[in-house]
Amino acid sequence: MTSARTYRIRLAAGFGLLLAFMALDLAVGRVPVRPGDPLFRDILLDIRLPRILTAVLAGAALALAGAQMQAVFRNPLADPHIMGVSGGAGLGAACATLLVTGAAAGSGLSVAGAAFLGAVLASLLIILVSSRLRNGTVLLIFGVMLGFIFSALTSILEYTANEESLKLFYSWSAGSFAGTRPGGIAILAGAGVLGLALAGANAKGLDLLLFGEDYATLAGAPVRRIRACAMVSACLLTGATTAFCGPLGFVGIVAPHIARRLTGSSRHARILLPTLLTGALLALTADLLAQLPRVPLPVGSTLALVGIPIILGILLPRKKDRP
Amino acid sequence: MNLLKTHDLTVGHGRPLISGINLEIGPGECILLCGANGSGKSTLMRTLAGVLPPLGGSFDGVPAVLIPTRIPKVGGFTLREFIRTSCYKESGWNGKLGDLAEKAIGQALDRLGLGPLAERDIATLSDGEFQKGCIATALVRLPAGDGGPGLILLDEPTAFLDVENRLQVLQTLRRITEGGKAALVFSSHDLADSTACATRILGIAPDGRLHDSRSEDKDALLRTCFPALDSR
Repeated sequence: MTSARTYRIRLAAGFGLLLAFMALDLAVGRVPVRPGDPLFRDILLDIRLPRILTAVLAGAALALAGAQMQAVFRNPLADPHIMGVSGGAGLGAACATLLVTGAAAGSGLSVAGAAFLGAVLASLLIILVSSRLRNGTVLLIFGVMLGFIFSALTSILEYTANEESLKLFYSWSAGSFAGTRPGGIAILAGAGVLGLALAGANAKGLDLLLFGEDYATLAGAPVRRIRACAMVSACLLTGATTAFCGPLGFVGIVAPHIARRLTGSSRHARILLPTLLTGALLALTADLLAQLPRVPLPVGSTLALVGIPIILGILLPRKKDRP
Repeated sequence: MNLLKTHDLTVGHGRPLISGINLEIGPGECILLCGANGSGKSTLMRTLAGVLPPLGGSFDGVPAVLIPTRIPKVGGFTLREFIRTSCYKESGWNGKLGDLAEKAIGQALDRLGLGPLAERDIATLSDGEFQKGCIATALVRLPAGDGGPGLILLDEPTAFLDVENRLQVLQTLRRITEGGKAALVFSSHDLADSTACATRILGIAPDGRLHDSRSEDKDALLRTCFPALDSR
């Protein structure tokens, strides 16, 4: 458990690190530019800054969604990706790119809108089932199965699609922070603020859920309302992020664990801000890695490369834990 | 003064498990509720705590505080923070409490001898220490705070504890009721230690009747509720 002073110092250090990473990411890109180059301002303001802001908002949003889902399902591996919400968004995007023809086919806005609807549909299914099922493990299995169903349906659509549509869909599903317009960034920021407000207002309820539904009910907490509020927030955050950046895993699982380790606390009022910062930093790191080669890599892959060692570090027993 | 009085109370989930309960509980009592698995111990407690509606009859008295069995020891909460979580309605959005509630938590911790452990992470406490922490959550939620009149219901507080921790918890239960204004009902399958700690025994017989050591011999009560004891 860290003292209030240490907590504030670490939080400030986290913000500092975030700003440093943003500056570093601003300097990295496919086209090397220097101050004084004719395209310097355009590349920085129109290409790199929107990409960096998208990475920060998306990482923070997915981390916040993961923290809430882990409390609701009382499972350290719960996150929007594993619970099938990203799969729902993927199916939505697949429908928009592979099924729709005409002027709207595959346009950025229609893909984002359809992905958001898919995420909402998946979240609604999970909320509906979670109101009937009390066992968190069964619910997690339901989420994983839901993800498989969405994945199977997406595969069927891919199988019947033409090459051009497939290329468009693959570029979305590989994940990217690039190409988001100011309107998209505003939507991401709006969803982030609303999602954070809901999570903050629900913080003490999320704490209670960690001790079991029975304990929470007997302490006088409105358990159903707490769960519904957390799922609405997680759905909003995941839906908006997946719509613009594609299905991105690992941030939602990893970031809350790192925040808990750094603060020595599981209290949501204490871990929400560190979770946001960690998620943003993870996404920025993945984006930096993606930009290093001559041809940018898909962010979904670099996130996995950053996230998997951290997950293993969390799951594998440490020396002092061994009997 | 009675803390609880039941009138022909029937409890169960859809079908009755225990019926015809006429019970009076006064201050300072430490009552063991025993019976076979599935006999209705938890159901009776949940009904008295107002979580389950009775199937018949009624009861009146002070509001009861129920602590469920096997609360998980979630790391990342100090013992004080864990006790704060139980004051959901009294706390702000971030779980902070007013001075009065904080004082009640401090008193409960001191009374149970947990003061030195207040800032320890609950994951590092022994099972017995944590169980005493769970009892502290009940003390702070009594209507008039710790030391006031109230009824505490503990569902199997000694389940899964080793002998040392079990005895510590049972001694704690006895201590918090002795000469106090509150009463306590706890369920347990461990008859040897629990009957020695309790001032009164309530047993649920296989026919769904509640037997009371106030009106019948303790050994006869146990043999009625656990017929296998007769064959030993």
